[in-house]
Amino acid sequence: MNSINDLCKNYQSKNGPITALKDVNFHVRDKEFVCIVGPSGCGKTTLLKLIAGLLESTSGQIIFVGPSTNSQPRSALVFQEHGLFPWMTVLDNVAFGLEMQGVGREERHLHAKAFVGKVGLASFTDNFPHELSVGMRQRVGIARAFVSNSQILLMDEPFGSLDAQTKLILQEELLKIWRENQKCVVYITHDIEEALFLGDRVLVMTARPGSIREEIHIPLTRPRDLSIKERPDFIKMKGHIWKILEEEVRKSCG
Amino acid sequence: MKENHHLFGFMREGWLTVLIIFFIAIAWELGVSMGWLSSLFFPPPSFIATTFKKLILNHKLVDHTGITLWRVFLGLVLGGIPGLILGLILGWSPRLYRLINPFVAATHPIPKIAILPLVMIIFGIGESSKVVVIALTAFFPLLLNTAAGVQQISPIHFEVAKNYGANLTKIFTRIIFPGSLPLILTGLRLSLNLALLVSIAVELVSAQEGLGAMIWLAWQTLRTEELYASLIMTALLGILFNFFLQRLAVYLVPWKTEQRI
Repeated sequence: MNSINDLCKNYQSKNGPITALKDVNFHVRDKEFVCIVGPSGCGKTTLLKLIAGLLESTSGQIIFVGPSTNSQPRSALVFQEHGLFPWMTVLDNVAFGLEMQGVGREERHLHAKAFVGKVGLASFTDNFPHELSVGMRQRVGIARAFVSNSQILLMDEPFGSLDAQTKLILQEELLKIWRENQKCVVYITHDIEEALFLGDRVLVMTARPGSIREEIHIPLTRPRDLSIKERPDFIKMKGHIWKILEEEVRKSCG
Repeated sequence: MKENHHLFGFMREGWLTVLIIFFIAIAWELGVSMGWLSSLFFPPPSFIATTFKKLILNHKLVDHTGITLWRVFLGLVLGGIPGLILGLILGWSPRLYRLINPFVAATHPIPKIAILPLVMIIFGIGESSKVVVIALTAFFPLLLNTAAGVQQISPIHFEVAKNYGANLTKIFTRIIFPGSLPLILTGLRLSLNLALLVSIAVELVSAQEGLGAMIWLAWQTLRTEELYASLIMTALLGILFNFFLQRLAVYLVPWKTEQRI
């Protein structure tokens, strides 16, 4: 089991030290889809960057099972936007993780092509990101994360800048790819419906300093389709999370 | 698909340019034959054209142009490549940038032609001092634009690379170099044009061969038609350089079709 134990992160700012995260504790089971929701500014992105190894924690532990070597990074991040390299084609972007692991050109292109096809962009392999719509670019970002042999995928509001319809379609596609290639996913969002639709569990964070306030198991069976959003238990869970978040947002507004 | 401005735009506006040049030439020709313009200062375009053709056929203009181009090339290689490499490093390391930048800021604005006498004291009056001045000229635009090119790469791209386990070599070859390439090409264009300008300036004051020397000799012997022919050749070189660099940009930075370098 992967676990985050008593994780803390302090920043130095002009106005003195800021505690971004305080005693964050949770675990992620193998092949589990965990969503994290929280008020804006609660340190969600900081948490993800700590797990990704892009930031150093002030104290606490991040324990992941499985190898963490240069040839196999433990995590792959999917960014909100602008995560793709504008100077690489779709295929090279998707193959980037494998390239960094030293996989030869032919082999990595073979793997990458398969995933580009899975996200429905087979006819765009040689296009550059600027030639794609925002939704297509996020598909590329997701394909890139899945192609890398990382144990855990970290997603930072990947659909945050999409229109509502595209977002729904991509959520379903993400679940489909995840079902076929089961990995741990830690998914950050401020969209409660999205968290409930995607996750096995939803962790609700407090306002800054961020910590996990509540953990909610989602007992909805998979595969899920959009109709589950109409179910009474879905709506009830949504109301529950919304109430917690509302409290936290009010707290942070003072 | 967006319109490819600099190719089709160039052709559309190109016709207009040719038309304007044509009309100016006719007015000029007419002005000289009517006696409104002195043919000593403004030899008729037809005479300049035949002189140009003659100087091409007897290889005089070709040889001088070749010598100037060789100097531009040497200067660009000896000055531009170090500028590019140092620019990549300075753009990548904010600490080195802070350390080196004061020296760059102090030496960059000095007109390089003004230090030719100093360079000649050090390198002698031969070919090498000319090339040194041209190289110094080509050094700065590539250095400054490359450093700026690296600095404008989004931090997210470095984070993605780090997250996927990129080592330093990969960060340079896959992120820093391609990410700064559009501005490197801007630097190259500036370096190339300035190298041509300074080559001719150096040749004007201290050379027996090259376009600048030819211009100077034509002025001293009052052969204004040869002077104009050399100037036309210089202008053609400028046009050629820029056309070549535009094509290079289309080829090297296909992800920036809007790039106007």
